Amino acid sequence: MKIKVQTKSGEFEYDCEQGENLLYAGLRQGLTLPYECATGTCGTCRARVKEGKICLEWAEAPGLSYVNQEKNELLMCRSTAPGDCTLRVPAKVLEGVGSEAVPGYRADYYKGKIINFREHNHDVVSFDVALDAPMAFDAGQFAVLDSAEVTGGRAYSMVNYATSPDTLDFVIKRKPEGKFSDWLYENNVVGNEIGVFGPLGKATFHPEEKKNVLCMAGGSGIAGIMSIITRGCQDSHFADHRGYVFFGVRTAQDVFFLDDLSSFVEAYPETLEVTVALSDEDVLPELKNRYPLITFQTGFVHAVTSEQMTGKYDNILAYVAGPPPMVDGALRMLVLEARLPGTDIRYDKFG
Amino acid sequence: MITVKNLVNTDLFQDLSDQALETIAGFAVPQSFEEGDSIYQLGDDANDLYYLESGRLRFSIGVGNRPDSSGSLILPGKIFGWAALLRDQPRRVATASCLEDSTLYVIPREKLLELFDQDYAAGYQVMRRLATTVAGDFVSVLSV
Repeated sequence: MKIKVQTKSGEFEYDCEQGENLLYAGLRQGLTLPYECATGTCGTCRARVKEGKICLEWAEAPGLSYVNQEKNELLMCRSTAPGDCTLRVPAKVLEGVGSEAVPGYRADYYKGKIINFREHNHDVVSFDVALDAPMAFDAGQFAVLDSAEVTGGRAYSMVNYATSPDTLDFVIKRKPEGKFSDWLYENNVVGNEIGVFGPLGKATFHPEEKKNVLCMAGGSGIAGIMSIITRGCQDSHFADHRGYVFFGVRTAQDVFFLDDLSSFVEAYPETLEVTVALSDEDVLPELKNRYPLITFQTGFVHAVTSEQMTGKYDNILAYVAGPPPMVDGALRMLVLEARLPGTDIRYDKFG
Repeated sequence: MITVKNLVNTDLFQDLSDQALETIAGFAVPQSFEEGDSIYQLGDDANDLYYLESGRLRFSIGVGNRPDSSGSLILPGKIFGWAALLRDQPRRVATASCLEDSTLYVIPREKLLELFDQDYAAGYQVMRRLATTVAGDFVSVLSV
């Protein structure tokens, strides 16, 4: 069927398959439709039905609190259309993602298989997804994973980076009553097929911008930061630019990826600094001794960052990833204290 | 036109005398915004307090032109933009944007603070309510 969207930058039309959600259909055809989480939580992909009918696929979606259903508003990421329809999208939209005029990688559907499942600590696991075709993406982007055994997709950042990889790495923290993470933990998922839609997200890293890099991550938000630092190392970005990584967790039991982070610092000891902030306990000497290339501090990650970054904000791009309260605290610090302009702060909030 | 009755039904001004409320209503100037417009963004100077007469707003933390995940809704009859009442750091601590066409009343910060300097009782009551609001925000963040 045909979906027509009236936006602040003109009218566009795209095809949508039976049962396909309205957002993904538009994104895979190169429209920059508005979204943030792409999974029904944030309400950013809000639109209003002008003509035709739509079907709501998840009546309890948290993002519905931002829509006025009495005025025929909907979330594009959680709606399908049984026939042609016209939507009003209150945003500027461009077409041609992937062209010179609208750079970036166009999202699409991939089929994958879970491989290489490993446990990092008591509530963090990682695994790889072997794709049926290579997926080019920018460091810092995410994808939506969709298992037939769990209702609805979940957004996770890629940990790895390569020019056009056929394997994506993900790290996932177990959430209380999290259906997807419960499925991962309670079943032998290796070999399971999984749907992938991506790449998505705006917190992208491009070495050609020639900026110093500040990365602030909370918990599994370190995933996209690992991708960014990996790309920075691959491209020798830190040979002539500085990198500051701040990784916040609650306790020493919650840390992971410290060997990988140490190896980054080992490659660029003069320019790359990694600090781990423990919010709920003091740092034990054993941890410092085990990871001498990493600095450990006690405190919330945005507070530790604020303290250590004073006077170091010259020519900097800041990346923030983590649970929404941590991202909110970090954004306030970067804008109100560090006085960074909004254009120099990149983040995605989909927790 | 904003009325004393409108203001006395808000959290921030509910304890004020009719005289103080009439003075504040006299400061208020109506202003219309379209769906998608930002009223203000995180980090902007906080020069005004607002009363939402009609429409619907999203109150969240975001930068640039990013609409944002999480956050809360502001519905008609609410006062928002309380950073304008802070003397030493009048900068916005969040972003307010319109989910639909909205009409606001703009109450200038300087006029409000002048009023509170002259009417200590009104100033005390408003700051007491403001402290409760701020404490509530902290409690909601810490309970996440």
